[in-house]
Amino acid sequence: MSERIESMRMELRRGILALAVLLILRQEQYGYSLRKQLQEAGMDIEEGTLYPLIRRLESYGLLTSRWSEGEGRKRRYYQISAEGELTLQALQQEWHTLNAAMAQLKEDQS
Amino acid sequence: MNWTARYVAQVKSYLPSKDRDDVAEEIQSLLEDKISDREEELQRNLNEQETFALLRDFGHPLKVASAYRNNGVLISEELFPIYLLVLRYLVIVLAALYAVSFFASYVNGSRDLWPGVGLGDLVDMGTFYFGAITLVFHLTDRALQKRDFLANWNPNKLPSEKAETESLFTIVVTFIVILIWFKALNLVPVEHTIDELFGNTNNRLATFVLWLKLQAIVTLPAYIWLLVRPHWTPGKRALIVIANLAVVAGGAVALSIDSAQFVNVLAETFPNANVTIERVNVSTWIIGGWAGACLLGVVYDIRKILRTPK
Repeated sequence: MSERIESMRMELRRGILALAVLLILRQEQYGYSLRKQLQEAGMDIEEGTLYPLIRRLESYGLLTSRWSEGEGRKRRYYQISAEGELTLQALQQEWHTLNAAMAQLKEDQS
Repeated sequence: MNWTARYVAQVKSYLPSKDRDDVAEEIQSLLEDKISDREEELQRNLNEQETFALLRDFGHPLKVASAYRNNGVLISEELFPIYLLVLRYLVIVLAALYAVSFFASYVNGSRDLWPGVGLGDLVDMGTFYFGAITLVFHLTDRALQKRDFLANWNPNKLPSEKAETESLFTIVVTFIVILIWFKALNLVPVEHTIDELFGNTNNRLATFVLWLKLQAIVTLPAYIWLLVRPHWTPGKRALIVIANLAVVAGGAVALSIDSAQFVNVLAETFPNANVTIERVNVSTWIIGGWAGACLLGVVYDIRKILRTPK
């Protein structure tokens, strides 16, 4: 895959990353487990992009966090907030609209 | 050797003090999770090379820290192309000035004709203008962002298609020339006082130079504004009118100074110079001509203001 396509692919993924993160964090997760879950779902996002994004979402009030001791080490757990839930619903709506628009465009092409 | 601790310490050094400990603790925890996951996969402890690979995968400490910072920019993406263009023209203008001054000093046999004759001086000048231009753009950018200029634009404010548009080349070159001119004016020893401004020091040259500085200071915002919106408006023309009126006023004040008194001031300042009233009278013509040219500029700009299409 050419470098340009790869960069556009990453840009597209970054665009929907916030939506995916909010969706997963309906259940409490720590950073690494969140990344694993994204990977397993087929969204391999750079750690340097994902972890700072989680903190940004928290600073916007869309996530809450707490430190907790488990398996012999401290971990920071994140979960979606009430405001985050509202944002998630708005983003999901937008995602469905875009999907429908893309499907329509594809249909028009064929 | 605890490479993760070293890595985290390195990231920490780039983080702002407010979040430093918290972010560092989180990165430490994320790395420990990553290592333990990998060790579980391999059913053994990671060796040094594998730890290095894992840290490389996490990213350069500077890049990681930068992602956690709320990074501001010196010049926004929108203004950056114009900023870059100004810097490019600056290099061309300075190179041209250097070539001219070098040639002049070669012909004259002197090396003191222009402050940029030496290459070191050229670098000094370049650094000064680079800093000045960056500062001007940064402040302009901040002012525009504060007013949410790009988001709040109104199509009603679009200039008429007949509006006089200035070429970007002219605007940029004029902007640079004003900066260079202002720096050159600073070479003349001037007391920045009200007395000097109104000719009470009897120093005709210093008084006139002070008014020329005022002209440059007033003209600069008009050209900065032109860089953002490259068409002439009555407001921008009015600034140029004010700037030129400053020179007309400065000329009048300077010429009201008695030549004989100016000769005395020059003789005191430069005791070894052969200052005569005849030589000093040349300054009358230069200042008078200069102020006259600016007066013509005022008339020209006022006519343009009056003819601006609605």
